[in-house]
Amino acid sequence: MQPQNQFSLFGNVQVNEAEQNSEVKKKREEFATEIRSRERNNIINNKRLAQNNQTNKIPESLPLIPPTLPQDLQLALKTQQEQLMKRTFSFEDFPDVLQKIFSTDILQLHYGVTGLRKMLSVESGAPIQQVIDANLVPKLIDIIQKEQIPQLVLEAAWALTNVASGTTQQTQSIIDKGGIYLFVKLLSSQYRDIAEQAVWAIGNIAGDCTQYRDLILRVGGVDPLITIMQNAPNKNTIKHCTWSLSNLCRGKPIPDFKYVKNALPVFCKVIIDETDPEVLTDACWALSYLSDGDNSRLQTVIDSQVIPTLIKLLDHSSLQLVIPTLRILGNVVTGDETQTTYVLNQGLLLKIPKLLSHDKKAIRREACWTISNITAGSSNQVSQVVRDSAILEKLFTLMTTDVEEIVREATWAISNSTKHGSNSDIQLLVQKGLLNVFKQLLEGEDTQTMTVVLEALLNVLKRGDQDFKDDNYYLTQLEQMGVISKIEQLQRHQNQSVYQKCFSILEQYYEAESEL
Amino acid sequence: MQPQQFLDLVQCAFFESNTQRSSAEQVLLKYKDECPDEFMVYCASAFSNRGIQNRIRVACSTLVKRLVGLIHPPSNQIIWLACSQKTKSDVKLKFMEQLIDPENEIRRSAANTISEICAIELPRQEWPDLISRLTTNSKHTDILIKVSAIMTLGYICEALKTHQSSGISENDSKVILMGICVGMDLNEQTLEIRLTAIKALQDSLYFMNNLFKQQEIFTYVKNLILQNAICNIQEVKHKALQCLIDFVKQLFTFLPVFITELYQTTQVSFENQGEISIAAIEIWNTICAEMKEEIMQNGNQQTPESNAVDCCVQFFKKNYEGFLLPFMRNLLLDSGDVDDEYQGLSVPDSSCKGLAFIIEFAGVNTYELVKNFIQNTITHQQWEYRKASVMAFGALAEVQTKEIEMLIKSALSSLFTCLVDQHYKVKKATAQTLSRVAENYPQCFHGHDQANQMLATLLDQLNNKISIVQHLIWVFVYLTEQLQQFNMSIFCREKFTILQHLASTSVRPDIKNSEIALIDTAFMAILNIIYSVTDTKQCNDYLIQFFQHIQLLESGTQVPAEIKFHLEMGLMSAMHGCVVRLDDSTTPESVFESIMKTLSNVDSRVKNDYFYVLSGIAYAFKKKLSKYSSQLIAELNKPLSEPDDMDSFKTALFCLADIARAMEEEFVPYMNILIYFFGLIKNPNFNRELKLQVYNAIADIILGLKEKSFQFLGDLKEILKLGFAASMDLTKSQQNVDQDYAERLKETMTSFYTCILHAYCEPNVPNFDLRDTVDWFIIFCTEMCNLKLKPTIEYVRLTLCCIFDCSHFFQTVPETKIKLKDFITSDFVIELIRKMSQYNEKDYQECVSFAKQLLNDVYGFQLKLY
Repeated sequence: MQPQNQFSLFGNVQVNEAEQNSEVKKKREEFATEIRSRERNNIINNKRLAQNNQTNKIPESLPLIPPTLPQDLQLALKTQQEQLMKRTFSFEDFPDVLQKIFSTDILQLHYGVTGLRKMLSVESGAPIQQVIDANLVPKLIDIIQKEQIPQLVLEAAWALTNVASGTTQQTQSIIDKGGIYLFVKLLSSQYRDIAEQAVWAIGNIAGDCTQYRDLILRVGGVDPLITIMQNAPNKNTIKHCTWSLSNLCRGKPIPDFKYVKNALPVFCKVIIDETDPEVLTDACWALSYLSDGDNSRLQTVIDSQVIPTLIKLLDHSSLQLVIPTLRILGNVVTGDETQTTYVLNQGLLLKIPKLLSHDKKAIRREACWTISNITAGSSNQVSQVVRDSAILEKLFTLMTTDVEEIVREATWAISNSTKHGSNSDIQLLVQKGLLNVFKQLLEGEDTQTMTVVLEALLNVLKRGDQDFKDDNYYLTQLEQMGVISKIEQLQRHQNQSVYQKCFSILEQYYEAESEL
Repeated sequence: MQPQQFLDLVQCAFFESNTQRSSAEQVLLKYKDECPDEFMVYCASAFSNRGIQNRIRVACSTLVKRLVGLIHPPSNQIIWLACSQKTKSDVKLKFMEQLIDPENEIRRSAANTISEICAIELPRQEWPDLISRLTTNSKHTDILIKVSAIMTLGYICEALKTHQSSGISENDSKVILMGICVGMDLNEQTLEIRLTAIKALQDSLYFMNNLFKQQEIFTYVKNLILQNAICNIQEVKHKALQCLIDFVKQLFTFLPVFITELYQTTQVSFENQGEISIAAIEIWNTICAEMKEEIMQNGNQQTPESNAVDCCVQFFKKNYEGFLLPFMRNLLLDSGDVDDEYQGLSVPDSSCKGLAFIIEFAGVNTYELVKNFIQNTITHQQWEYRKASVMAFGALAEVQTKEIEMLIKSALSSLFTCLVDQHYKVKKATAQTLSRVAENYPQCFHGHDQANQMLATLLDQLNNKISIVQHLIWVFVYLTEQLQQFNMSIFCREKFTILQHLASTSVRPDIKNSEIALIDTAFMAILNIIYSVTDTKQCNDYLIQFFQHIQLLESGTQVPAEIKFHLEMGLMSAMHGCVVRLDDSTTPESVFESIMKTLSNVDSRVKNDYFYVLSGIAYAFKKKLSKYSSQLIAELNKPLSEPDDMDSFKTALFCLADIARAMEEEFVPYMNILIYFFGLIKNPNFNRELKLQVYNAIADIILGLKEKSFQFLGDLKEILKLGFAASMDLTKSQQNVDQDYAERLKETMTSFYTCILHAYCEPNVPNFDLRDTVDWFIIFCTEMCNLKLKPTIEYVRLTLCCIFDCSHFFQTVPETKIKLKDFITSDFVIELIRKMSQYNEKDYQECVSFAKQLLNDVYGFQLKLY
């Protein structure tokens, strides 16, 4: 920037001739200036609070009925609060509550909004639609925005949270009135109870549908949630926040990573620190979504030191926890060689055989998928899998005995190793009976598996060419086992891909019978 | 214009009643721009015409004096320079001729105007022979010529004192000074010459400052004044002592050289000589005031000034009795007529002031002497003694030390007995002293075990004469300033009783126009009380009460206009204090509506006060204000379009900003006003003080509108750049006024930039159009927050916060992030953080710990603080 000559522009020294400010005016001006700058700083500080997620601490919980209120009002509110805690509300109370909620008297308002909240807090049959029909949503929002007594704000936010737990259409009634922005703002409330209430609301709304989830993300819902978690006074807060935050990270279409990337290390930390299976499950599911991506994300996961914990969790009894855990690890081993090697060095493969023989199909499938990701890697990594006899035997068993879906995944795992493995590893595979397994699969019905097998066979034969020159041992074996005649047969298969693969093999090693 | 017509206009502009006067003024103002030559010549001809009334002649001379230095818009230079050479010679000649007019007032006026022309011409070397002519004439045998020349030389020095380069050589200055001194010679027989010379010396002290560095000149002049100050001729003595008041101020650092001599010279005049005593005492009061200022400015630094301060303190410690005793005896004197508030200083007042100074500087040794004096006189039979006692008490209360606090605590109830004294003057002095105690030792009231009775007495005495009540109201002003701090004191618990009494006092029917300040003072205390209330119900109730009173004033006609305006101003200020605490849940919409409706009709003199109430309503009403917005904004249009009335412009500007903030995006239909504001900022002729306020208002408006005002980003960036550049430019100026302004401008610009960032950036979603402003800001703050410039710590905080904002808003823009990383981890910023870490206040500590974390988390930088 060139400092131009602005001297003349700001050079005119005029003194106000009518400078007759009395002391009263001065005092008033100071007061007004103070209020103005407070008002301006409020706006600025709110945003700073939202952006300084890493740095801002939530202060000690403040009393919801502030001691600055007149003594008598404080006492009356506290007494009424206690009474209302014991009371139950039914729909019969609705007219009374409705009338009180529009009262200008603080006590009446407190009664009304607390009653409404209790009415909405029942397990089933909450009068959500009636509340919406009575146009109470804007009123509740109004209370949250304007009310000076935090207890009232809390009750109103609570009631609104319950409305948000209704159908998508019912939730929409809140969103239409700016509810999302409001709740995100409340996340930064200096009153812990209010902030935590907003955590519930955000979780509910985000879980409703991905459109709402994205709305929350766009107004910056993630960072204040993280701030609350980082300053959480107890495990419950962490639990609720994890749930809420995980709702912001899951669902298809997946959220735009730029909004949720700050949550990634947070989930890793939760997985390391927490023990509650529900919390762990939420965190792992969320992380399984977030870790599906480029190598830099994977590196963040590795850097957070969460891998050893994840591998331990593979032994957990909760199926709901093991699946996302396996998914995360499966994601990480898609990374570069160093990243995958790191995970293998932590002992992932030791856990695999047990998972491959798990009762639940889903676990077996995830385990196969994980293996296939590893065998898609370097020859060294393939080698670790192939030379683990427990794994290899399990895979062969799955390929020959399991249901179609698992067969397919297991076949991929092996097929990948024929492509990326070393020649000696291929020899080992053949030695262990790979060709028999392939023969069996070619006799099956599943064309997809057949294609994979045929491709793998070609890989094996090519290695044979290298190892045995003119006398390809693998080819001889296949001929003897009748696999080649099977392939000749399959050349007539109606599936184009199967036909193509067969043709390729026969063309290379025999004179192919052209269809024409 | 014909000469006679011109004279008629001058007559009208200077001596007629309001309406005619202002229209004549307008015509003359226009005329001077259209025909500056003719205007000057007419003035000079009239001034030299002995056939015209003296007052018209003087008026014409005054016109020339006032106008020569003003800007002449068509040529954009000052009027004198816009005139032709012939005009200038003609005018100068005519004014020089009048220096020997038989009439004193004409000579004085001529000298005065000549000095104003000199201030323009001498620095440009355009009146080369003037000084030599005057110095020659100052030795003339003709008394008239001699006096005029000396007087004119004095005026010229006075007029040139603010000029950096006067165009007068050091040698010429010496000649002028000697020309003046010749007239002060003790052998000079003509009284008029001596008096004029002393006055001329007084006028030229500032201008001659450099010459006094030459010791022989200083000694010569000093001796000459001191000799005149003990002259037997009372008039000479008085003038010389008055000259010494300026002399000690101007040559404060020289005091060690002549303080003893000065004491010996003045001591003999401390008592029994009326205004001569006042002058003698004021010399020392001036020295003490100068000492206080030096101590405040320089702290512990070793400078010639601090050396002089030390010397004076030692002198006072050694000689305090020589001051205290005569000063206390002076307190016994009657200060003159009862209610004459227009009289100047009295001997007792000056002495009381001096007493306080000596107590302060001579310190703890003096307390016993003063305490004994108070004790021996406070219950004396003669009222003069009781009054002196109370005044000495007041002097003691001016000084703040732990020991004096103890003394005051133990004696406060005795002081209260003097408040109900039989004699009016004792009462009045007591009320005055009580207000000093309340100002400097409020804790002595709040924590006193007889505070209940004291409050009862004070409230009861509010029925007394207005001249006493005036001081008592100040007691309440000071005590209510501390309500938060002393929330258990009776003055806090009974604040609403106090408020009622103050309100009743403010409408006492016996308040005269000359005592109108009392209404303002009462409302200051009322505002203190209102500002301390946060309970919305009470705010609401008082709002209604204040409002009802305005309605009463508006509907009736019994209250004199002047009083009515002051009451309305106070009431509306109090309403403003109430309404900012309210919202539409505490107060029905109809109340706000009714207030707006009634107040929009108030007289233009209290329109600004209405705008304050409107600002308050905007806080309370928020977006609901939109319903009334078009009417409200229309009301603001007039003052906003007339920036010449700075006060109204400023008030309306802030009111508009408050309304915009309340309405948020609903302000969109009115946001084109921003274009007008951009124009004001870019206009070189627009008042620069107001520009600061315009920047502030724009900041608030865009903060409310946020992305809705995106279309103005280009203009905003332009005025941002202008403001940054001007701050940097003006900081380098040699003129103090410019530097002071630059200080304020840079703070305004930093806040302004912060607001732009917050209006258009979201965390992690930077505004790409603002990327280049980060570069500008880095340049700006590197220059403006340089620790070598000794920025205030608050400015450092403001700057750091803004830097951190940039970091947050732009951390996802790789290129900018790298730039900011380099900047934030540079020595410059690290030193600022370290500087701030030395301050213990919460805000600063928070900022430091925030900075540490940011550096660590975002930039992986470990900040070490010593």
